[in-house]
Amino acid sequence: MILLAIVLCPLTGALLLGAIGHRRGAAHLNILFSFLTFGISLLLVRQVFTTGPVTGGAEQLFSDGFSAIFVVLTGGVAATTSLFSLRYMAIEKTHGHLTPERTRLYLALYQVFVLTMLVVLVSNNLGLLWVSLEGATLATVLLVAWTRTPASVKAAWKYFILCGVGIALALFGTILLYFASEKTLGPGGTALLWTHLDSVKSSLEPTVIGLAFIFFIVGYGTKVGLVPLHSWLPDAHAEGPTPISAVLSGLLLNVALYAILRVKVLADASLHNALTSHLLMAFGLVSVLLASLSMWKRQDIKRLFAYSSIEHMGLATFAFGLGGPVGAFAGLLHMTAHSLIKSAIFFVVGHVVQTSGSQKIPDIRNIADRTPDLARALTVGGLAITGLPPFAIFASEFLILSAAVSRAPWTLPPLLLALLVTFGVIFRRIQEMTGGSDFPVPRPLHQPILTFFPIWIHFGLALFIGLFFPETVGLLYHQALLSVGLTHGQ
Amino acid sequence: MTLLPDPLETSLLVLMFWGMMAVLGFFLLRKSPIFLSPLLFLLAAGGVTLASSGLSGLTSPADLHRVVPGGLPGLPFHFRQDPLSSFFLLLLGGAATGILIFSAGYLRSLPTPRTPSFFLRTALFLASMEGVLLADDAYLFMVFWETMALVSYALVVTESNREEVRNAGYLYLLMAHFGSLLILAAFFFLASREPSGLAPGLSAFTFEAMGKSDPTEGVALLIFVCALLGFGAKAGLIPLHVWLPEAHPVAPSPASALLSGIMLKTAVYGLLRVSFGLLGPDHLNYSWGVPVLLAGGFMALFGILHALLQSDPKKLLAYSSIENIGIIFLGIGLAILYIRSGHPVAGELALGASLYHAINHAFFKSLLFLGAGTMIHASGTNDLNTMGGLLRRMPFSGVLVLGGVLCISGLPPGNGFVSEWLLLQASLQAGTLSGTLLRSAVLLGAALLVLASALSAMGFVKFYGIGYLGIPRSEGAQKAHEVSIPERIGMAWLMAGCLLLALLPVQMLKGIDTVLHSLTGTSLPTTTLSSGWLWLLPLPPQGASYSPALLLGLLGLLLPLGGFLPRVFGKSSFRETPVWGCGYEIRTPRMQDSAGSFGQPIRHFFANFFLMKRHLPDPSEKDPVFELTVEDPHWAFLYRPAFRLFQGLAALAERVRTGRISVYLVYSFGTLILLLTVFRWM
Amino acid sequence: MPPPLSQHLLANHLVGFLGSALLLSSFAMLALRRMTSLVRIFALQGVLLTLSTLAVAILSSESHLLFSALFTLVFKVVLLPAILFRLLDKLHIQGEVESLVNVPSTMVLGLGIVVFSFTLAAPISELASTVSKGLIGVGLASLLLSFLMMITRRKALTQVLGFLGMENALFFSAINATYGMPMVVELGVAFDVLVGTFVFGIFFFQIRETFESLDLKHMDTTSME
Repeated sequence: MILLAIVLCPLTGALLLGAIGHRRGAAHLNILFSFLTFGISLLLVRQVFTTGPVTGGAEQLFSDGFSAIFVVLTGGVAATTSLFSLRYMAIEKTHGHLTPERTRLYLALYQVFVLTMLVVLVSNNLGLLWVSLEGATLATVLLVAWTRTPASVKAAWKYFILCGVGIALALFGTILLYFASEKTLGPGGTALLWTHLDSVKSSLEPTVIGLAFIFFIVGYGTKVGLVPLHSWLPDAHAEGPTPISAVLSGLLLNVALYAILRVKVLADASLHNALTSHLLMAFGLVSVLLASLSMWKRQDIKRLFAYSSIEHMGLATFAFGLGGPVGAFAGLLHMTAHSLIKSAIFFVVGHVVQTSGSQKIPDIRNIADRTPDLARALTVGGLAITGLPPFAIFASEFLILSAAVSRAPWTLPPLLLALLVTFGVIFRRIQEMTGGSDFPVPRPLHQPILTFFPIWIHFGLALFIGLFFPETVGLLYHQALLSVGLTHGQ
Repeated sequence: MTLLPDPLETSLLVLMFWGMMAVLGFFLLRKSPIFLSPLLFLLAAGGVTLASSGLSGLTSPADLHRVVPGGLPGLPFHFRQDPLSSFFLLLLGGAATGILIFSAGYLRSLPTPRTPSFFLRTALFLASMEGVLLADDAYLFMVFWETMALVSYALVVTESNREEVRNAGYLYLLMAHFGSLLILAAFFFLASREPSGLAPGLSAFTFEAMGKSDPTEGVALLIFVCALLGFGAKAGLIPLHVWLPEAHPVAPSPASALLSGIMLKTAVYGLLRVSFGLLGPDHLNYSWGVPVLLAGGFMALFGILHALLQSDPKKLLAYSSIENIGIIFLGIGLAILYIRSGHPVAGELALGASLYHAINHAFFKSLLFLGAGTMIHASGTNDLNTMGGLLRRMPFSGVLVLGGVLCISGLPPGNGFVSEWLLLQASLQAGTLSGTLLRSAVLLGAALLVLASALSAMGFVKFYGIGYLGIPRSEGAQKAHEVSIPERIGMAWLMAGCLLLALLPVQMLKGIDTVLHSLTGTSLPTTTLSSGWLWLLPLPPQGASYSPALLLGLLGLLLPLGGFLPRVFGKSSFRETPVWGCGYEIRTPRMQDSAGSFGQPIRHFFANFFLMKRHLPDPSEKDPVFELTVEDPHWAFLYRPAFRLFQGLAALAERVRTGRISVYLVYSFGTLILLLTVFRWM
Repeated sequence: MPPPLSQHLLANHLVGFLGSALLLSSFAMLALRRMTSLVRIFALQGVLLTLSTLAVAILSSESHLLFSALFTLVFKVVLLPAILFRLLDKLHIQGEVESLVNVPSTMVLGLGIVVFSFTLAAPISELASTVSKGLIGVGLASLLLSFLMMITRRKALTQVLGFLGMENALFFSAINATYGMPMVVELGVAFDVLVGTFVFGIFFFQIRETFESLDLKHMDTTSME
């Protein structure tokens, strides 16, 4: 029941906004639906953690602790992002970038995007999961090209082609998986259902599952932004409207990694070897290294943080590759922390770009004098995302590195170097952008409180997680990972 | 049962107090700057409390623990105050009190809009340093450690509207982060041996669990190297020191004093905590002492040589900090060497001398940085060449700075002499070591120590002579005036600390001995500790002895005599004549010895330590100027090549980004084929 | 009821023939230069898919495959080619397709891919219980061939054709390996492909509007920073 509700809520929102999204007040409706979805997701997580996994919609929908955590995260970040986009779009409007048509398209697609992500998370059917992940691509492609500038059209095209190909490969993986599970579960509807697959996972044919996993990781890995499949990511993040960059980075990447993890569990049980772990570790490590090196030359602030997303998704992937209770816990925590912080950074960056009139770093100067509040938020965000304590990313990186030392010590030096480089570059750029001059602007521009509400909520949560990670939530995380079976190491 | 809080509780209260005051004060000061002095005095009261807590932790040694809810699941915040913490808390509280009182007067000179944030940063900085000393698990330690780095960065860039300040701050924070990552690595290796039985297995990160770890020799070496480099980056270990002479001078003076006087000591604390506390003396190898010892000696020499060439008084002091940290590292190296090769007494003495020097340095370096602040403030520039004659205009602070200068130069009866002398005594035990190499290494260290100490005296003659003596070289120096009352009190507090440390070495050593005992399980000789306050006998029965009080008394007697005797036995009474002016009628400030000329012989003799660029003017030049720039060779030989390497790598990474969809598709295709091939045929 | 042996053999021959035809058409797409011929080949692939689905449906007596066949007929033989032809017409696209790699080299690469796919799929085919189990290799090969086509061709429309070709190959694999995916998934996939094609269409107009050409070399130069 509740699963249907969580799907229907954004669906209704999408249809409604598709119809009347150009009217006044539609943006508020968007917020309403987003928060409604968030509320339902909270109810869902409560139900899941009190009474156990939920199934619904003729067994097509399913949520256990693992997916419930992602559902709440998605619901929450989508809600605050809708709040941010209200203010962002209002400013865009004053800049004259908006037509009612485009507003409608934006609002409707926003709800569609949230819908597809939620369906990915609560679908029991791995085929349906594929369908809605592809749907998420389709919804965001148009959003990336939303500004219709040549650069944005190019970026969207690249995004479409690369992710389209990737996702096609994942479909081949799904076919192979179906092919293998059909042997034990019999033909018909149940052979792709997670609940059924989970019970027979150890008797699936390893050769087929191994191949399937490779197709999955190359396919869904494209969406996660794993190097060398990441090429679409910086462009799509840089050229789309900033609220979309925030949800792409904070949510879609997570959702794609979630899909990989689901499949990893099946593959692990069937393969009885460390193939999946090694693949995830290799992809993760390469992503971290390349992303950190690529940051140095970035001149575009959104692109810079897009590369940071690649780095962090790489770290999370690496953590799940390491596995074990600490590694998996760290990976999940890292995804949570990254979602919160990176989306908030994009909120800040959105306003910085709007007040500076450019997203080129050399053109953004003196934020500290012009808009001191934004400078503060940007600095805090930069420190949080580069893993300085006491923010949540420090906690997760602490755990990831400690798991790395006990399981694969040789990965420590490259990881530490990458973290140092990331910190050095991001902090340098932020310092350049915020740095004041000798002649401060006489009257700095202060933003209305609403601007900062979503930003500080996110940073506050990240701080809270880093300092006082509640024991109960930790237990929930652990249970979720345990029930899915991700805590098994190599 | 007593109602009085135990030392750890007191310390935690101070921690909370400072943290709360930071926020509270920030908002109060935004309302009105009038609260500044009272707020700073309150912080100082916290400092006094902390010092007394540290002191009571040393006099009645106890190992106190507290677990505070928070942190990560399975890893709440652990606090602990053992003698090592107590010692450094005493150092922190004692030195911070003087600096804070000073700030109450000094901060009036800062532009008001920045005052609230400066106060916030100062209070947070103190709190985070205290947290570092009290933390008892790796996570909490790192939280405080990084907060400390971050807040101190913020202190450095208080005057952030200048490009050079931002750059210095950036360099500092980058190095600090580099160090932090290495420290993290050290902790991970310490914890990795612990079996992770519990759910997330995080209890391995308490210091207690880490202290029980039993790493193999190789891992122990790895841990030690990571800790040495990690904490060394904060302490200014060469070649990780380059940030220090950049960052310390650009910070406001009280901040420089906190950075140099106290924060550097937290690195010493960290190194001792990891090597002696967590790794344990049993896992150290005596041979590790040699590189540490030599590195310390080299640092001491290198630091003081560069100090001698500086004309910015704060830069001079910053380089001198490198020298002093070098001396402390030298002692630690000696201690490892002696203790692990079966000479515990000499080892304890070396380690004790190190600790002694650490607290000495905290007091006199803070005093001198504050003094440099008053000099710069008085003369309006940060160039020694524009100062001069300040003593006449600022007699009170001038005398206090003179005291600090005497102490830091290692002249008896200053406190610097005590620790350096003790260290030397320990070095002279080299004869008991077996192996020529070891012996010569120790003696080389001792030679470096003595050389550095002598040069340091020269450096501070320059500092004081050019700055305070002679005649003013600029209008600013001409118009200098004495500093405010709180500033004087603050400096006097620090001077009093120096005096106590100078005059009561035995009492101090008793306190240090509890630290040594808790770290290594052995003690200094009982005769040393029970010889009364008058005589210091570091290595009874036949070693040398020293009585600061008698020496001071003697000096007190002789100095007036020195002034008096010529008057009695001189041929005639004094007469005043014009200064001999090389035949010139008028004497001008330019005729005086300058900061540059003072360093010239050093530049000449130790040319290998510097990278100099001379510009000799051509006769045809319109405006001929002789220019000489001296650079730290590490920039040219280490940092720039490293940066170029990084840029090369970044350029290589850039080649992945062709911008062509076809190529990106090839990446996907290639990855797929590669993985399939590997899976199918391997 | 398993079909009798003779019928089984026939089925294998028929389905095998259709599979080879599909592979051949993938090669043709790799080699052909004219845009209109490419779309025709795509339509032909649709026909082949329909036939092979029909054949498998009849031989395996899986009734839901009949729906799939019908669906394929409507969707891939009629609807998509119609849309594509309309696009060609509207956007005035005709003439030669430029290739980044010359055709002979592409062919050699393609052959290599076919060999690779068959060796890779061999152990899987052993496991299959369907009447057309030998054809998983064909599906994989045409998937990778379409991928190769996307890499080597430069125009936006050829990339779309490559993409749709991949989809065809996926469909073919699903039919032959497992008698098709569950209905809900198949419908979902078809829906995605349909929406995707529309999005492609929207794109073409946007690209055309912004760059006045559909050549991908305009798309290649991302702002280089």
